[in-house]
Amino acid sequence: MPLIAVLGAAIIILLLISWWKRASGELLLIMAVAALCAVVMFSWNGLLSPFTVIDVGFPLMAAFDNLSYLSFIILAIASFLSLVASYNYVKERGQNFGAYIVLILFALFGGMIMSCGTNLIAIFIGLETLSLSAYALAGYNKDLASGEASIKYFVLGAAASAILLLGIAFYFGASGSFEISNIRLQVMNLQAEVTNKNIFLLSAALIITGFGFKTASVPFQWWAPDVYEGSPLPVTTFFATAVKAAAFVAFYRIVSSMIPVTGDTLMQAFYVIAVLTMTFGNVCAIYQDNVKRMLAYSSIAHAGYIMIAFVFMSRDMIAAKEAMLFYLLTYTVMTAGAFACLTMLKRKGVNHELTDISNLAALGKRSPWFAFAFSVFLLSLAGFPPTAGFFAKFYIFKSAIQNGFVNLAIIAVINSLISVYYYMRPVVVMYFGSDQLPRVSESTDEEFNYSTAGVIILCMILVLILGLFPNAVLSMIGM
Amino acid sequence: MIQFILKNISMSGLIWLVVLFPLASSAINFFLSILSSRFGFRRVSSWASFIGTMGPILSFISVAIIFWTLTGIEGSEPVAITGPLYQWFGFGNWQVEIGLRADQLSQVMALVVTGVGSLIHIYSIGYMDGDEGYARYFAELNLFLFFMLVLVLADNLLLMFVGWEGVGLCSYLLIGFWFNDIEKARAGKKAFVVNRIGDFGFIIGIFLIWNMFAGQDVIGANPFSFETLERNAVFLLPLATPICLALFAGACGKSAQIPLYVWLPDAMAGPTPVSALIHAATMVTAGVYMVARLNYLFILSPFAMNTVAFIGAGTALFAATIGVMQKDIKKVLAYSTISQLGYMFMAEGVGAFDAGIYHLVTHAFFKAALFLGAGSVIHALHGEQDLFKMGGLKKYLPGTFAAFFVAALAISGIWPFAGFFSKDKILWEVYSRGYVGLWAIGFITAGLTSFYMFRAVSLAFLGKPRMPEEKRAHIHESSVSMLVPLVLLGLLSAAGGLLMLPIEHYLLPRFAAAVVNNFEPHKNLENIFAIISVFWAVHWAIVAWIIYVQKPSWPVSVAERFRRIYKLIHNKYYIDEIYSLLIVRPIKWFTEFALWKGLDKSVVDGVGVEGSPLVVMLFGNVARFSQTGLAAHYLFFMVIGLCVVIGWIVL
Amino acid sequence: MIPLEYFIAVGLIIFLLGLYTCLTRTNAIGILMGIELVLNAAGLNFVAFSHYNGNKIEGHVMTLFIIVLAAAEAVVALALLLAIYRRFKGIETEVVATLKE
Repeated sequence: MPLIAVLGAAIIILLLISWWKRASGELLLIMAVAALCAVVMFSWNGLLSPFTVIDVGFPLMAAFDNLSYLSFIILAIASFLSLVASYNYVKERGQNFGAYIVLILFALFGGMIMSCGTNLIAIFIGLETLSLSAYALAGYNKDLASGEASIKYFVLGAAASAILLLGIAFYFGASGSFEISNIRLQVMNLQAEVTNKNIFLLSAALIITGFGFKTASVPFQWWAPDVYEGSPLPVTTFFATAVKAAAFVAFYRIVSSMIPVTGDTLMQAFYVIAVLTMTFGNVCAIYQDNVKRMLAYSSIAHAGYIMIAFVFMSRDMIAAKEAMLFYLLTYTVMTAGAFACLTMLKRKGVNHELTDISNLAALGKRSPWFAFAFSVFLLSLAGFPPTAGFFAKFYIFKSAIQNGFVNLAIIAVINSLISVYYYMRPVVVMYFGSDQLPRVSESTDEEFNYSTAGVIILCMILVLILGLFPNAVLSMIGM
Repeated sequence: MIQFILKNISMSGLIWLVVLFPLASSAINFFLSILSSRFGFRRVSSWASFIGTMGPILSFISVAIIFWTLTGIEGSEPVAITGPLYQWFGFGNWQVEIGLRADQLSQVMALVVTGVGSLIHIYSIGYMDGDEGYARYFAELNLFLFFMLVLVLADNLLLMFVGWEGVGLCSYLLIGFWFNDIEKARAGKKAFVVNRIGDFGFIIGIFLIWNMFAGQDVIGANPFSFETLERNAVFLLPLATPICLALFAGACGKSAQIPLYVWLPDAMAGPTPVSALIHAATMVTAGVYMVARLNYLFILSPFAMNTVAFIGAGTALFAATIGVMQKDIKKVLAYSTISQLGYMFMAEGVGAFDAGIYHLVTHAFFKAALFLGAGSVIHALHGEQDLFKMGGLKKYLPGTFAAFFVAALAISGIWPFAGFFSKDKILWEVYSRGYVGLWAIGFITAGLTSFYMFRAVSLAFLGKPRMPEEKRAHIHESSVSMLVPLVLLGLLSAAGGLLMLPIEHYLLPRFAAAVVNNFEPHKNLENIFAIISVFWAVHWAIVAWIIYVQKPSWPVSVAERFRRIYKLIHNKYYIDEIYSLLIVRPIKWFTEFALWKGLDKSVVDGVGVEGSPLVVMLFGNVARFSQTGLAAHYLFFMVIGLCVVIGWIVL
Repeated sequence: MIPLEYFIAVGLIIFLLGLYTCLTRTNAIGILMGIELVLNAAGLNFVAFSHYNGNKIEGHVMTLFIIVLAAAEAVVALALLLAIYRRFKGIETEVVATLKE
């Protein structure tokens, strides 16, 4: 049902904008939001009812368990936040909002298929739906950077998909099926045949590459800083939240089925990937003057933290799922909030994004609410109690330690200490003036715009709620 | 009145109120600061000061009522807990709940925090008068008080950590309060970064405790509540040393002990009342409080206890020697704070937790008085902080002088002022438990303390005025709102000795686990010691007076003769430089070049150019390869990554 | 009958050729062609595996999907490249490299 809601809304809006050219942006937005609300409602209902596996027709095998429903909710929230925050953004630049909504909804549809598919074909089709919309979204602005982002994303993304596809081919060859769950039955079979096992491991490596790309983890993260920086801000929000969440959920499903076969080999690979990813992200983020690019690197670092869940997955599958979902949810909310804050920054007559750190100068004085909200998001990203980010990290690190990965947790804690340094820089600039900045400060005067402000306030409330009452959400995830 | 309140509000409600008053006033002041950015700060400032001071005062009254009520109940321990407000989060069958706890230790701490806090808030009304960010200042100060009270009253380690991080954040905001000033913003950042190193220890400690409890038959649902910890301390025995050392690292960061003390002197860049409240009386003692709170954990590990004692003693001596050479009046007080905190840790390290906490209380009185006195001086001299540009202020600021002098007597440990009792108690405990070496260090430090304090007094208040003529005419005694808290704190530091027996008595049940030996009270020996240390302190006070008042030319000639040592101490043992060489520079090199900001840029910025060519080449090349902007390169790296992954997994 | 390994070997060779094309071309269309080769390698593998695994239908269907996918990707790519060409006056990856460290 949630899938139908999204697909239906996307198609209706598509038809609407092609037949009725003067359809107003508000109307389309309301329709899209209604569809997203429907997704959340259906998913909520689904959470409360027994789980089912639905065979929609051959390639689209889908499991509707709490993992899919929760990821639907996360994805819907992410799309909602980036859609609403982009309303003014797109309108100001005189672009077609209808097409934008359609692209986002199709991407969301792809993401949802990815996260509920139990069949590699379904997951791959979802991934491609998501990616193709994403390539177009990256190039939605009419400036150079946006175009560059789209082409880079496309070239690298298509290569990664091709590699992933090859991995799926080998997976198929080794297990004789596309079913994820089927693979467990083949374990015995595999252990008998060494060649098969090697082919299977090869497919695992290729699949890790494909998903490593989508989740922006080292060594497949190269595209992320450039693409995140070049894409329009709301689209970057979407990439950092929804795309990442969908990729992680699908990745989780696949890896959880591989682990009984591959055992500790995968665990070690994820260990290295996690450490490299968070370290790379944090080290590179330190000296960024562009807040958007800084957040891109921070998004890489956070992917590294989430990868920790994949490390201890071989020991405790359930804890890994819960930790990952909670982290994805909080990360979505706080990142969307931070990006929405950046979207608010603008100056009369200037159409390009003002994301340089000098634009934040002395905002604490001129617009205290804005500065306060932005600080809350940054603190949460840095993992300060009692914000949401603290619990997400706490939960993941604690599970890692419980499963015996003390060193990994210590590395992660050190990393999050480093991250505090660059998260605090914008706060320093907002509250303590701009003297220390290398560039000439361009001050901004932010016009109030209700949709983006609404997103910021909503995110702030969610960040605080997730921090102060994490138990409610945790118990929901654990249902 | 009290009867009425008690009838209508339950005890747990009252404890919640303690925390909520500052939070509420902080929130209101935050709104006022938004208003002030729209309507001008003068309109809201009287409201801001009223609300900003009412929060702490009401909170103090609530604490006092709790204290009186609880001590009034005969025959039971004066402990009240609120019980869980709600369940914060849970894992498996463990629940972490949000709740507060007012036992002997936290009551004493809360009384000090809210009491001294209220006085300093009142003082701030005068000190910050006419500042543009008046409402914001009170909002942040109140918020600080809220987090401090959460830290003190928390009934579990995690909630304590929330307060712990919160006070750090507020301290950071307040150090950098006067923005537009690079130096101040940087100082704030330093405090922040160093504190995070300490917090790392705290977090690791929490994780280790969690790990030890996992799989054990722990009594109690909340593994982090102090009650559970105390009851199940046995389970932690195998890892007691690492746990305690990790937690102590956190305490070192917050309480500015070696090697993490570097931030505190720089933190003096904030407004003086902030220094008084946060960097002298309350926040920096959080580490001491934490160690006392977890005394049952620390005594499990003699090694950790010894570490605490030796680091405390070392810091006490070390900071005192640096304090002797400081020119800035606030820096003198900052190093003195570090040194006194060292005393507290020394006492805790030998097992005399009650003595440590008692010194914490008296120290809060006299150090707040000293800071507020210094603030009053700085205010009168329009921002002058250099001791050598003061002098003879006794004539101009009699009230400030009296309070400052009494507080100086107190900190030097001269009978019958507060510091004498607490310091003597610490020294005696250290000696009688067999740590003669530590006692000697403490004794020498006491002399140094007396010396630098009276050096400051002599230079600032006695002798001939050394400030420029035109400035002298403007010197005036501070306003009533500033003088009253100052005098009250002076009185407290004079009379604090009276509190010794009640406080010790009150606290002892909290440290039941720590009271190990019933050594014979050598009354005579103790008295002799006390007399000797008073003479020792007085002697150094007189020496300082002679050197800096009678013969102002002496310091120069002394400096000439012992040039090397003088220089060494004057430059703070080059600790900042060593830090920057060993830690800050490498990180900077790494990040600058790992990112390849371009050699040109780093040359222009003059950062880390002198780094070794090999390192530059290594990181430079690695990084130049990484984010080139060329899609083809990215593709190439991805393929390499693919090969590595395949190699790793398949082979 | 031709053994499975031969197909896999041919598939791998096509895959490597595709990768090589991707890595050596600077023209975005050249890279796109390389990617198509990689896709075809996967398609070949699917058919081969399908045939040798009891002639399952899934593999064949997947190959058809891949063909459709390649077409869809080409459409999006050409649209993007057109837009890029208008902005940068070129589609070489060296030209399109303004975003970097």
